[in-house]
Amino acid sequence: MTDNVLIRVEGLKKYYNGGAVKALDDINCEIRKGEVVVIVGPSGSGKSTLLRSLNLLEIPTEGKIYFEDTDITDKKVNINTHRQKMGMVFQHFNLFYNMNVLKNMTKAPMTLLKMPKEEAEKKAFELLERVGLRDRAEAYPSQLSGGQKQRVAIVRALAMNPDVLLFDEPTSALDPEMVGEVLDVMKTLAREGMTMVVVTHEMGFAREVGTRVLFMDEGKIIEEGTPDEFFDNPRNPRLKDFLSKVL
Amino acid sequence: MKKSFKIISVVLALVLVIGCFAACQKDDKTKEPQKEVLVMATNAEFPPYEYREGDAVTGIDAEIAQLIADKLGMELKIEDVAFESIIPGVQSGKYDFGMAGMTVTEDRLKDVIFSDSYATGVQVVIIKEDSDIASLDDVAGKKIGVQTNTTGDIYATDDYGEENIVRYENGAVAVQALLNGKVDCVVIDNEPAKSYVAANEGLKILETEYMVEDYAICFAKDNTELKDKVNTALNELIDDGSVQKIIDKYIKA
Amino acid sequence: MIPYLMSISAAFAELADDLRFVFIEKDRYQQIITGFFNTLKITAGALLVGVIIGIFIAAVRTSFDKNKESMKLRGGPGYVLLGILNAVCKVYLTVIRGTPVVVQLMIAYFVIFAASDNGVLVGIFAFGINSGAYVAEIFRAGIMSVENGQFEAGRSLGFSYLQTMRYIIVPQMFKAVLPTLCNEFIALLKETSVAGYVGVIDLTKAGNVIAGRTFNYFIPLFAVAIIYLCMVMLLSWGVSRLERRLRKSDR
Repeated sequence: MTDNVLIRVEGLKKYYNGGAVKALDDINCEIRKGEVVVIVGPSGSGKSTLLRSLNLLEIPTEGKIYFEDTDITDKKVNINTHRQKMGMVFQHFNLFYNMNVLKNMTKAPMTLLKMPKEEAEKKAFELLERVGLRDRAEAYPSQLSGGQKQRVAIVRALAMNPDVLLFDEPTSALDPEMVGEVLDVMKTLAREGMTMVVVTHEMGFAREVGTRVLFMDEGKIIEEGTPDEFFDNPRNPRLKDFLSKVL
Repeated sequence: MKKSFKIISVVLALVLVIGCFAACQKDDKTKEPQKEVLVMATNAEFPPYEYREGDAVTGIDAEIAQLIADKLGMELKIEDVAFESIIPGVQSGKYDFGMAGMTVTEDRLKDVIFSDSYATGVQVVIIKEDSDIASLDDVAGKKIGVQTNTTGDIYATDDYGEENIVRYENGAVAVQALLNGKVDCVVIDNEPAKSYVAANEGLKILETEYMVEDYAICFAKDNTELKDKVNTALNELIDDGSVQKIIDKYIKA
Repeated sequence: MIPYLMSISAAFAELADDLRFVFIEKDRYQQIITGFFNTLKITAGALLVGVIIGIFIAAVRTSFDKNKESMKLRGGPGYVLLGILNAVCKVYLTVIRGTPVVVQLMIAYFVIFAASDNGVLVGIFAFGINSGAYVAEIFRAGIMSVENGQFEAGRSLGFSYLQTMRYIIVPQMFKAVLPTLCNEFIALLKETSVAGYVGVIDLTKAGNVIAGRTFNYFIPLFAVAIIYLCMVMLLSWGVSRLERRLRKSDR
């Protein structure tokens, strides 16, 4: 195994109704450190299921997932400690409604990493500063716009110092005018070398910051490549068909 | 011509209306029951004086009341209500009289008047066969089960103190509590007590009677007319042995 | 005008006389005080028992619902154990919610705690076990009403199932169910009025006993009703204050 592989997926399968529905059908792939892997595909292709399997929010029917050389599908592995290193950003933000922005960001580091309160808050303020929301630290999620919520969700994940960030359609639930502010944050992170796996419909983002693009259909990875070859030179007819619809 | 037509039509209308009234009145008269209704309030949870057999309330009180109603030429209607509701209901005129194994007490006399006594009730103490209660004196300081607001409850509370009384909804529950050891004895009317002791192993009645009391029928204070009529009928029935016959039918000595 | 006033004052004098007779004579008000405290004891105790049972059952039921799929896939004895617990809880809910509380109380008094002569304690258990079934379903509905995304976000940060429940789901659930829970507590308070069936002098029984002694139904029953009403209003007021405080995060 090469040194810089962060996540390795082997023969991953996810079946529903005893195999009648194959959400994931024998997926094999690797995520290396520093990569920005963008997963695209038509809806129902299994891209979200794959992403959510990476931190076991979906339990695979079969197959193995190695995270930093540990097989996290092994029953004996404590998934919680591994999840601490895999931040996740959701389509619907999922900020904790019962906590203000600051608490949203400091609760996990203080509880799970035993970070002292002052340190956790200092870090939270730094992160909020970076996404331009320092003055909203005391606000509750219900007082924020969608774009603000998603920016907080991203820095909440970052507050745990994760090794990888998983994005599950982070801009799909946003009003169009707010998409830009979230993508800007993601672009900055990518440039800083954050390892990211992004499920998205934003082809512009895939092309601009993606280091590799995966195309999924019917639970399989059908084509993958650098953004240039992927968008300019698609080989698979289904990918061609897909790109003709979304571009 | 027109005028006479008008007059005729008015007269006709009048006749019609009057006729209708007359008819209605006649109707009312035929609908009215033959006899006046005499409403009795009781609480059918006190065998053998009153209890339910199917839908009907039966027992010593019910039968005596029926005989009284027959004598008065009235139709008896029995209302089964909570024991506590009998006196207020009689006071308000909702019921003509109350008859429920009811003892004449000073407190009750403040609210109602009573007929002559038709039966004698005896309050006894039920104990377990292995009980250390041997006489009424031993009851003091023991836990006493009673049926809420019955004479047994009232007397026992006065005699032995509130803190020793445990009140249950009916006699059967109180006896069950005695069997379970939740109370040490039950103060209750003699007749149901016999049934309970017969029905449950390991119980007996304390030989000394706790209290002897007279059962009577209660009426609203201003209803002396009915009271007098009932008293006359009742005394006739006592004299001719009818009352004793009924009591003997239910209570086999 | 003057005779009118006189008749009013006469009515008041009569009422005062009745009140004195009903409550003061023979210290009958003592019954009301005893009854009030017994009602309070039973309600407060049953509340505690009910909430503990409710939390436990809601935890079992929602854990089973939320984790059965992943536990089935990952295997282990936990799945079987939780499955059995879940089934037991379901039976409990069905039985308790399918039978009247008076019957449960009588069974508790005469069968389950046959050896105990402490009616108040039996009342606390019987009403607590009864209330627990309703509280459990309230909590469960509350937990289910919290978006699954909240749960996933908690787990994705590395919180365990219990930590996610404790820090994220339960606080949100509690706020969501507070009004329903308050209604359940009010219902419980009023339901304890059947405690008289097992020989306890609760507030209702106290009123009933005084009424039976004095043959005055109006005064003791209204007095009892007013006391219940005050207790319920106080409870509602307290809960609405708590609700307002919790709602701050929803501004």
